[in-house]
Amino acid sequence: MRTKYALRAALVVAVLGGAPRVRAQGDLLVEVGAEIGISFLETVFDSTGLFEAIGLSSPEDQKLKEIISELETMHEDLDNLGNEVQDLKLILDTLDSQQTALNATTRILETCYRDRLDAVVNSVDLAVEERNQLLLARAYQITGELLPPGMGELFDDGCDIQDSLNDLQDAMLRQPPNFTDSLLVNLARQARDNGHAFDDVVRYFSWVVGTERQAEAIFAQAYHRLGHDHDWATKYAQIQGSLRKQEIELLRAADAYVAYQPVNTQSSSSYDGSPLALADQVVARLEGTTRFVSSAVLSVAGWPTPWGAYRDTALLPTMTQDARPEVALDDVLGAEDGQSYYGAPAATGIKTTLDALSFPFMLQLIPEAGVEIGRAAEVTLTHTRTSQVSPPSSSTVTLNVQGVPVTQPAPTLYFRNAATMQLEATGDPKNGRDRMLLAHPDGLGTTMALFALVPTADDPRRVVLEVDEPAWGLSGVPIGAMADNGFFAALDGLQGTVLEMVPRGPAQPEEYALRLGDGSWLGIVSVQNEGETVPLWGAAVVDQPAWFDLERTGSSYQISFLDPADGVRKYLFVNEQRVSATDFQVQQATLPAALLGMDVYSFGNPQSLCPVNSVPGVLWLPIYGGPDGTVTYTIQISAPSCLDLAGTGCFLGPAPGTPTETTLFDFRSSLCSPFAGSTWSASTTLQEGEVHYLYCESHLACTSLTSIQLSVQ
Amino acid sequence: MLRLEVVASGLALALSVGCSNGSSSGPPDRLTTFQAADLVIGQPDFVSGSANQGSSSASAAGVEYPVGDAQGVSGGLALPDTYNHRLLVYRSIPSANGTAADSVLGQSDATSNAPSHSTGRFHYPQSVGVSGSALIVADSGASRIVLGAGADNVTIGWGDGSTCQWGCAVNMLSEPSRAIVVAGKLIVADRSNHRILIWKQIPASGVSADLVLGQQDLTHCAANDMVGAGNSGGRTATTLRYPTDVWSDGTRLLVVDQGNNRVLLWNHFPTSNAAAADVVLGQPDFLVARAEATQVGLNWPVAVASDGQSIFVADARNHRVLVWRSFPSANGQAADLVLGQGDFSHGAPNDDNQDGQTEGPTARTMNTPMGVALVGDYLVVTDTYNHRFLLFRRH
Repeated sequence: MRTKYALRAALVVAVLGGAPRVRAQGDLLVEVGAEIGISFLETVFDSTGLFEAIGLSSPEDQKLKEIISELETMHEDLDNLGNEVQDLKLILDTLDSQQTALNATTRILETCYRDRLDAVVNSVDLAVEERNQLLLARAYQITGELLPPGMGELFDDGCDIQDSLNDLQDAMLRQPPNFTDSLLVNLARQARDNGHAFDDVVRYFSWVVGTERQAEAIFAQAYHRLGHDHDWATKYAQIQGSLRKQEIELLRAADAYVAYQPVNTQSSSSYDGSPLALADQVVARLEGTTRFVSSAVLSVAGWPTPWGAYRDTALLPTMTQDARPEVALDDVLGAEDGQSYYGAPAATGIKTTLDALSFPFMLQLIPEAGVEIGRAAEVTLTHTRTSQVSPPSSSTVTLNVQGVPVTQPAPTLYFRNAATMQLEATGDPKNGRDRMLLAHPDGLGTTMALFALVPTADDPRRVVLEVDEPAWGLSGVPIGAMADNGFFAALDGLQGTVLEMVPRGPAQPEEYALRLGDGSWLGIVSVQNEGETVPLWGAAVVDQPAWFDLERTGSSYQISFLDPADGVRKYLFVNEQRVSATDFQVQQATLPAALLGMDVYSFGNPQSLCPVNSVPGVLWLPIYGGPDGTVTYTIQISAPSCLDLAGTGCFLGPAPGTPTETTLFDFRSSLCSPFAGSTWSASTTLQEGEVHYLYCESHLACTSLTSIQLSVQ
Repeated sequence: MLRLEVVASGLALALSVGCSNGSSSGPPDRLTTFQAADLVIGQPDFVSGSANQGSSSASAAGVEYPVGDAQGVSGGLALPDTYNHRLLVYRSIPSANGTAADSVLGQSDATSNAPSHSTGRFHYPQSVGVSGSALIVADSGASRIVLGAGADNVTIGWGDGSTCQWGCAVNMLSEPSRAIVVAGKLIVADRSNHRILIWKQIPASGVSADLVLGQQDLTHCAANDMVGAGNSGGRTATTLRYPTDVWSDGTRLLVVDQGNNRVLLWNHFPTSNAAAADVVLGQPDFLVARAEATQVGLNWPVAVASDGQSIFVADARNHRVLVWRSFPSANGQAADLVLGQGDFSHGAPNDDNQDGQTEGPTARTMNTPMGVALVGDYLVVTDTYNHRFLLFRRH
């Protein structure tokens, strides 16, 4: 973690222009922040003294904002670190608890069966090899030696055998809940994160459950010899239930180990199913069977689109062979035939089992017919286990899982009154949604982001914006202005607003301002409220002209504008919600902060542009030169999918704008049929304090849903 | 000399055509770097630069954002007055600054300036050319080429219909910026479709082109689409990004590839779709598109003209016109002289004292020139953002 923070500090220094004094203080700030934690940073944020300390006098300084942004990111990193520490603490606490329980068991044994202790310890050691008939016989033998026929319930030394057994059982029954508190899962993640093999987790697991099973055998004999067989039946059921839960926890831990992406790396790794096989073997042995009792199953869940959750994103999982036709997924995935160890699969389970796929395959998600999917949806692979009624003789499925699921939390959704843009109160009705003209860097309108400019009969400069709404079976829906300055697509009784296209000039041939009849202008306003992470941009009537870029796309226009407030180009789209005549609302999502501040970005082309895929998803990213003068870029295709021939690329330029005009760095790639690879990287040299802008665009095949991760180091 | 009848908006002009494409070679020109213009049209003098000469309405003497190339006709001039949605016609080359036009095409009178898609009207007309006895106009805002007038009028680019439409279809255009007729061939810079369309003969309305440059076929229209995938894939000798002007003598072909900051030269007239250019000006090779103010670089070139020996390029965002004294044989050949700037390293608009700062217009400065034409003894520069045409005497 220290290295990561040092990198942050370097970025801060780069922004500051590399003054040694400032750099030193920046490093110090990071070090201190890392040592004493979040509260210090919170104090720092409110302290104007810091501004003076780093040589900046005005809190309004742009550089200062960038510094604060970096500090906020560090703040989040510290949060994450805190969480990791908590996880470790939980594990250690749990281990202590278990050790205490085991020690208690040992103490009882020592107290009551001191002279037999060596034999018991030896049996525990043997239990690591899991239960088998030999061990079972050994356990019976030991118990018989400890409790010979005719022995009373009380020893001469005052030991109460029944009480001791109850204590032991309680200790055992308490331990499984510790497992189900995700002890093993967390342990597996920590092991993966720190480079330990899954064998270490299995070794710990075996040590615990072996002890328990040995004790179980002892208990059974003890109850029998004490003449309490009926009581043992009840206890046995309880203990067996707990032991079964432990087995399931081991399987979950194996899943977690395989699926978990170490936090210390941002790169993907190939799928390795060997931990799953090992866990299978262990559970099979514990269950007393030699056959495979489970198989790995993929279930697919769409990552919720952070802001596009205007409707359910029903997904149709698709598996395809590499460079081969798609496999009918109904024959591959389904939940019917699986009986899960730990509940039904979250999304979709296996139907005919994956052993039917004897080839490497790619995983795609495509929208079901008539359903649009927002950008940046992610594929999350969940390894679910199912008991096999008739297990196959062999299973040699090779899962070619590439990419790192972006595990961002689902965004918080807000509702605003579309006319006033005020946040809706809790008690306001939520059954109405608007179709408001909005703007966003990604053009979130799905199919409603391409506009027609329909001229009036007498003057081609005077136009009405129209948009198709295929989801509702409507085409050519005009956009009109409402009272309170909002612009909407075809509300009841709403007429299209005539806008005069005022050109900016022949040197900007695509740029126009759109003037209303009363001399006011169509503009885009931010309605960000204090404390919100991401603002919402809505179309409104403004006093000054706003210059829109009217880019011809097919037979339509894509309308965007360069927001002078943040230098980010934003694209107009129509929110595709149904209309309520009385309560116009717009849904707003808060983007997870990690997407804003981290050095990994996900982006993709708007599916809205299908089948016109000529407009790419784009990303502008400022790049700061580092102390060593080298910046490395890595483009990574997150989910295996087929890109169209145009490929995906990045360009580096000195300022945001049209990238091809000042291309300094160019590595377009083209990949499709077959999938040619997933990662490209290149580097360039930027001196400390130098800032360039990296422009990336993705051209994704219409039917694929793939995200692209850009990693900058 | 050919007699030319042009009828538009009730106007009938009798014109004769001369120097149809500027390809006739004459004596060596006397142009020198940073030379002052000899004449200005659209402004009363060299130091004025307001649209329509500061008036709120159009007039016969003022222009507003003229874009594209002028055309010599019958010893006179036809000029695109783009933002007034009209053409100005001079029966002879003016001899005084600020001379009012003799006729206006595209508007009912000299003070009207509303656009229209009707017959005889224009919507952002750019560049004027001639075809036989008729003018040919790139009516950019209406996405059409207008050839002739009156009964002989032909509209190219509206599909097979008579209403305004635009798109990527084989017989449609998208914001064309230039049309010329050379050796019977119609060549159109279909700007926003990122292609050059070539008809082997003057077509009737609705007839698709015979040849396309910049695209693999007539059904694709993406910029720099090297493989015909419909997306921008990469810049090569076969791709275009916003081509704005063309010149040809029937054999050689020059295309201004504006979005790629270059001018492409085909030494032999292309005979197949997506034919690769032979030489590039403005860039060291066909793969890059740097914007530079140097002796070899360009920044958003818009127009090209030639007399068959020299090449003139309006380098708009360097606010200059570059002149090559000969046709290049290698990529990235350096220009020989520059107009509008004192040397090849300056690129500010209206920078008469060459201090890098913008001042008012003068006789030797420019602000975003977007047209060049050779008319008689003159080089006519469309000095767009100074709302004027500059005439430099070459001989």
